[in-house]
Amino acid sequence: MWRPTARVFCSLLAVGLLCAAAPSGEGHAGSIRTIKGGQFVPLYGGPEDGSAISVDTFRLDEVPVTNEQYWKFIRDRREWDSSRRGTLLADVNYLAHWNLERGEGPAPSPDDLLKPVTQVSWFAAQAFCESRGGRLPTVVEWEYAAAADEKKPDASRDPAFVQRILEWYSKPGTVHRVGSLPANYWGVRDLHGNVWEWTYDFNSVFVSSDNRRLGEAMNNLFCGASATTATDRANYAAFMRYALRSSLEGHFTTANLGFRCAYDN
Amino acid sequence: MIRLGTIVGTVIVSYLLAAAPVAAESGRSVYSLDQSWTSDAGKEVRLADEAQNPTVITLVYTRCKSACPITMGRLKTLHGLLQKEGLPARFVLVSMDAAKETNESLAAFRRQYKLGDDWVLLRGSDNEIRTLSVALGMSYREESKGGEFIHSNKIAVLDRTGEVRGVLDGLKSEVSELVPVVREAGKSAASE
Repeated sequence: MWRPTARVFCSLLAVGLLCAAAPSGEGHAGSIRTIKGGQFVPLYGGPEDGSAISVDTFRLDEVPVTNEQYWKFIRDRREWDSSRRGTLLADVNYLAHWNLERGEGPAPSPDDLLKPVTQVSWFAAQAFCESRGGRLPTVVEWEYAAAADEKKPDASRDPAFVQRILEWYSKPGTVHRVGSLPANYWGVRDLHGNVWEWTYDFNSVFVSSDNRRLGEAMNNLFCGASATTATDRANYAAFMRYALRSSLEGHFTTANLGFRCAYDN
Repeated sequence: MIRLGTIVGTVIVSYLLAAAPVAAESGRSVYSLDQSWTSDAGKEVRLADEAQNPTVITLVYTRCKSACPITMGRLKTLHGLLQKEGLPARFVLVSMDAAKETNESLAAFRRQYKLGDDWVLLRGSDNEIRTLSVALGMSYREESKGGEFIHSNKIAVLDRTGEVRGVLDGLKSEVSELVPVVREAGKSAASE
């Protein structure tokens, strides 16, 4: 029946621990990059026979949506202000980090304007992207774009690249200004190293029709010591993202979960 | 006495407000998603249409081979149990197959399972299905384009206002667990 499970709790705990730490620098906002389609073998969650998924060309925001951009969105779309808290569409912590009162309701502090907006639900993120003629990227699109390092489109099996991602996952830190990190092969920034991001079909089932198997595996990864049995570290990094996604519900908001928008080509 | 009367009055008013959930006030209504669907009869419908009774809702796709016959068997068992208890409810089946489901395939499914007027069969756009699935906490994925779907096997009960009152998970759970949920969902709606 309708109960939060231990795995949700464990995974949320993990989200709380897995934050970003990275140097600050120039912020970039507003650019959209084209991601040329191709064949892609996801490290996790692909077809069981390990065959490639074909990804169509799409466009993706260069950086995550900022507090400033989201604040402007709310001024046009009042139904998405703090009155949404505690509803089907956003939990009680929706925009909880906006600690200024600007007459019209909570507002982000000046220091946070160029940081990714967090504490937003899936519904909120999707509404924002739709207002721009876009949508959230699918899991496959996000993973495809995020497999690139600075030099090549698919570095997902490169030990140095994987190591950087795992270091970010293991370090507690803070959300920082968007665009501080180097652009990847596609010209996209911050897919790793800043905030976790919502995807359109985060609630897809990615293991088998019996999703209890995934639940058990996640419990072991997050709450047990069996993470050492993950022989393939690259697989492990991707698994963390899938585990996080399957622990989410559409109204959840957390301090390290933001989003960016995708657009059909 | 006046003060006591005021307090009693306030209590009664609060009770009435609490006992009469209104979709717009609770903010938790699935009906507030403001979506538009197409029925097997080709009619444009909203989930809130004709929602005077509790709703049993799940995601299906009619060309499925594995879990669907089991799910349909379970839903029909629940339907029979509710009828025996005299608990009115409508059953809504929403197709997760945006690309391939048609009015005709839904109508054929209705005939195949001999579904009466209290069964509502709907199809919609990819975006609408995804949004509803997120709202109901259900999950699905098309294994390959045009292929089978991998999906959760959840059945949700909504009260008349569209608020989720309970979700049953898995193919092996007892559908009879949803009978008291439907009963409670019907009570809150009746007291409005």
